[in-house]
Amino acid sequence: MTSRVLVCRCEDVTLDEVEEALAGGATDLESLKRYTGFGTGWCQGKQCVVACARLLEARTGAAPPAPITPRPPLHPVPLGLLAGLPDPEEAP
Amino acid sequence: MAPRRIDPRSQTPVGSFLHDGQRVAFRAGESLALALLAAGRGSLSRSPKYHRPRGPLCLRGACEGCLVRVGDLPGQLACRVPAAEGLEVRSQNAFPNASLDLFRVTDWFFPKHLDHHHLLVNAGATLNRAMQVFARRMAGLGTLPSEEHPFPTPSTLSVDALVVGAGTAGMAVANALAREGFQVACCEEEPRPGGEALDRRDAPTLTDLCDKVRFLGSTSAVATFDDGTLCVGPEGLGLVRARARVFATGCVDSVGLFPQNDLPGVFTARAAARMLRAGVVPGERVVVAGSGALASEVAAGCAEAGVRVTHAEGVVEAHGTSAVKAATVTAHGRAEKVKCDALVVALTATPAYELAGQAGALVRWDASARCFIPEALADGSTRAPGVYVTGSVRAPGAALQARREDGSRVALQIASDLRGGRL
Repeated sequence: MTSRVLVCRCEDVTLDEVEEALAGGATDLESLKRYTGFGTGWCQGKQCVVACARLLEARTGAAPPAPITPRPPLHPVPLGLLAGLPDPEEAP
Repeated sequence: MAPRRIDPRSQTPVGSFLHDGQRVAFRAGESLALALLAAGRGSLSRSPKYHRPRGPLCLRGACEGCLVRVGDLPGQLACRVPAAEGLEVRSQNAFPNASLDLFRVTDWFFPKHLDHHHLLVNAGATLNRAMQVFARRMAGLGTLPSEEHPFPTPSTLSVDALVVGAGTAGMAVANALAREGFQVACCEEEPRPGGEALDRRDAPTLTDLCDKVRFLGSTSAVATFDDGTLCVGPEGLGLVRARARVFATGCVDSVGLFPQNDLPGVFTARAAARMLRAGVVPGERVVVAGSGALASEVAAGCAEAGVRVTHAEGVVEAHGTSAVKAATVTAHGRAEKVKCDALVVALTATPAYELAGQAGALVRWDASARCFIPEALADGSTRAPGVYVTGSVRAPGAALQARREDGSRVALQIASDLRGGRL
């Protein structure tokens, strides 16, 4: 098995990849996310956002002021459940 | 070896479900993940790109390690689904199954990493197209349901206050508000209230959740908006409208960054404590790395169960191919390789700030704790009207008594805001 340090387990993003992105100039949390895809998987960044923020802080000396936008849903939800919600556009 | 029940005769199984065609017995109140671990089934899926084996890591809904297919619904968190008679559970993203997956070759194909930005960009259009098709087939987790499901109509509930999280602080807020006569709902991902204290043997006797509080157990708040919070539970989707929303969502644990940190058999200390409380040992030879109450709890619990425990300071590397076989750890300033089948890591947990952030609270980096914390005044109020935070989500590492007091203090402010017609 290839020895890897997983930063984001959901998207299989390794420490190696994050370091390459940092070296390539992705020195804010949002760019780092867009380049590597960390935090965009099933768990929506519950563990990796802080890990990446700490890596950024170690590399640039400044921590990101805010996390990436925490988007819903927090956990995987069957689309059918959400589809049962009333359409806000049609609501009286 | 793998996790197992300390005493298989101590509790009678109440039923069984199928996992990849094999029957798995469960005890009363167990989640799918716990029953699977107790049956020695620690590998449940494969990772999306490299098809590395994945198993439960945190047992608190904050990782992807326990995702399984339940019935024909993919992507269900096994630690959040109560075990039930006759369920059909399958591993995901693996062929033929999670223990043996032929697509694992991708892990060896791309020893550095699979860089999707530069993958075969200069290799010519035809090869690029072929690679795209290959990558799309390999990636992802699970397949869609085979049958169309009806759209169930969500239930709605209107209350004065919704408390998300029934840990120490959450219960303190909910109880105080309910005793003041307010309509309170409290949603909690675990079937029972208690939160972190449920994992600790030394925790003082829990204050029960007041019976006037509408308790929504095994229910996850998955999204929150000004006009309602979406809660998914055993009854499906509920829309809870509340004048005040209180986020007592606690903290999430991680295992830190070390080589092979994703191997099945690596657990957070909280997950291991949770297993021990349910009468399951994480392995036969357990390494506990880190310090703190949970680490001591796990080490003591394992030793009592007759499992060999090594207590270390930190982890350098985990070893193994399909599960943990050894760990290089530091103890007394020296690195040492120790054989083990479970590696339990205790690190300081960081706040589960997501829902408070969605609700409009300002989430900021805390330079001393080195994590993101939702900003609030001492009374728990945030910059968003009607949105409050309490407990360890805003004070990671706070002691139980402090969390309880925080909950009571925040409840006073909410009661005053509700009465004053400000919400």
